[in-house]
Amino acid sequence: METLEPFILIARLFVVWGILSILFICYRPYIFSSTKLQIVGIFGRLISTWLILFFLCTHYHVAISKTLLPTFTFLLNLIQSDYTATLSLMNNATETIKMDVIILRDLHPFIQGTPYVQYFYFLPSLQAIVLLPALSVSWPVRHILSRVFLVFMSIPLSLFLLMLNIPVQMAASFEITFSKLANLKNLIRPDPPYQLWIDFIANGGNLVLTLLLMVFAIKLQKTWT
Amino acid sequence: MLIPNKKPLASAYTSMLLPLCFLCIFMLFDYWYQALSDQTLRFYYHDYFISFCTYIINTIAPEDRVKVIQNAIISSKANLAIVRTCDGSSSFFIISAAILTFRSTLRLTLMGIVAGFILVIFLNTVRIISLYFLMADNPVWFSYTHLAIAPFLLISISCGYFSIWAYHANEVNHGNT
Repeated sequence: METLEPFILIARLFVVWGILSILFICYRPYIFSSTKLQIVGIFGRLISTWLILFFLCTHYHVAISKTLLPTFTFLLNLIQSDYTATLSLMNNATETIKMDVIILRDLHPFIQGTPYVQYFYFLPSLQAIVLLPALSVSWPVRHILSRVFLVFMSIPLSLFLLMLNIPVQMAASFEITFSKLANLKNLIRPDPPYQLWIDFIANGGNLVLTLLLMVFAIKLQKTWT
Repeated sequence: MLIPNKKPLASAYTSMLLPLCFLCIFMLFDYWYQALSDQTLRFYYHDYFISFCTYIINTIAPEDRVKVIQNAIISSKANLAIVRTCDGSSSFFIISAAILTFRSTLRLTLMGIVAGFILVIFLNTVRIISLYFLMADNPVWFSYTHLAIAPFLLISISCGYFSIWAYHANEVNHGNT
C-alpha cells in the first residue's frame, strides 16, 4: 500500500469531506423524503445499469476506441508542444492504444525528430466512465421524460469526462518517461503546465468530476422540467 | 419583529459535521485494522474465512479438489491468494462508520452493525468463490471482476444496505413504527 505524506493525506481528506458535505447539503432533503421502495429502486437501477453498461463497454470497446481516437490525438497534441502524436489501436491487444510520437525538440536522450512509441491501456478508463450514466439512470425523478433527459445528458457528459481524462493521462505517461530519462543524466525536467491536473486526476479527481457532472446534469434537468 | 430562521444554518452545519464524523470513524477503524499484524489477522479471521470458501468451492466442484495452502485457495486450475485487502474490511468499515454517525438507539445501531457484518461476509464469500471459478475458466473476466465489478458491487450494496437501515432507524426515531 502506498504511503502518503501527511500533508497530501490531510489535503485529500479535506477534499473528500468537502465533496461529501456538498452532496449531503444538496441532497439531504431527497434522501430523507424517499420511501423504502424508492431507495431499493435507486440502488437496483444503479447496479443493473452499471453492470449492463460495463458489459457493453467491454464488448464494444474496439468500436468505441476507434471512434474516439482522432479526438484523443487532437487533444494530446493540443495540450503539449514537445512531440507530435499519432494514436492507433494495437492489432492483437485491442485494449491498448499505441502512441507513436515524433519528438519536436531536444529532450535528453532524444534529439529533435526522433520517433518514439509508448502504449496506453485504455479499457479501464472506459469501464470507469459507466458510473455517470448509471447514476443518471438511478437518480429518482417524477416523470419518465426527466429520466430520458438525464440519460441523454449523460452521453455527452461521459464523453466530456473522457476527453478531460484520457489525453492528460496519455501525456502524463510520456512525462514520467521523459523525467526518468532526464534524471539519468542528472537533469531535472520542469513540470508541465498541466501537472496539477495530472495530480488531480491521479488522486481520485475522476470520481470528483463524475459527481460534479452528475450534479450539473440534475440542475439542468430541474431547470428544463 | 422578524426572528431569523436558524434552521437552514443548523442543517448546513450538521450536513458538514456528519461527513466529518463519518470520515474520522472510518479512518480510526482503518488505522486499527492496519495496526493488526498479518499473523493475528490470519489466526483470528482469514484462516476461518478461507476454509469456509474452500468448503463451498469443494461442494460446488468436488472434482477440482481445492486445498488451502497458507493463505491461498489452490487447485490444479487456479491459485487464489487471499490477502489483507481481500476480506471485505473496507465495506464493513464504511457500513459501521455510517451507522455510528447516524444517531439512533443502541439496539438498532448494534443490530445494524451485526447485520452489516453478516452481509459483508456473505458478499465477500460470493466474491471469492466467483473469483476462483473465473480464475479457473476465464482469466480475462477474472481481472475485470477483481478490479472493477466486485468492488463496485460491494460498495454499492453496502451503501444500499445503509440507506435502508437509516430509513428504518429514522422511522423508529420518529415513532412511526
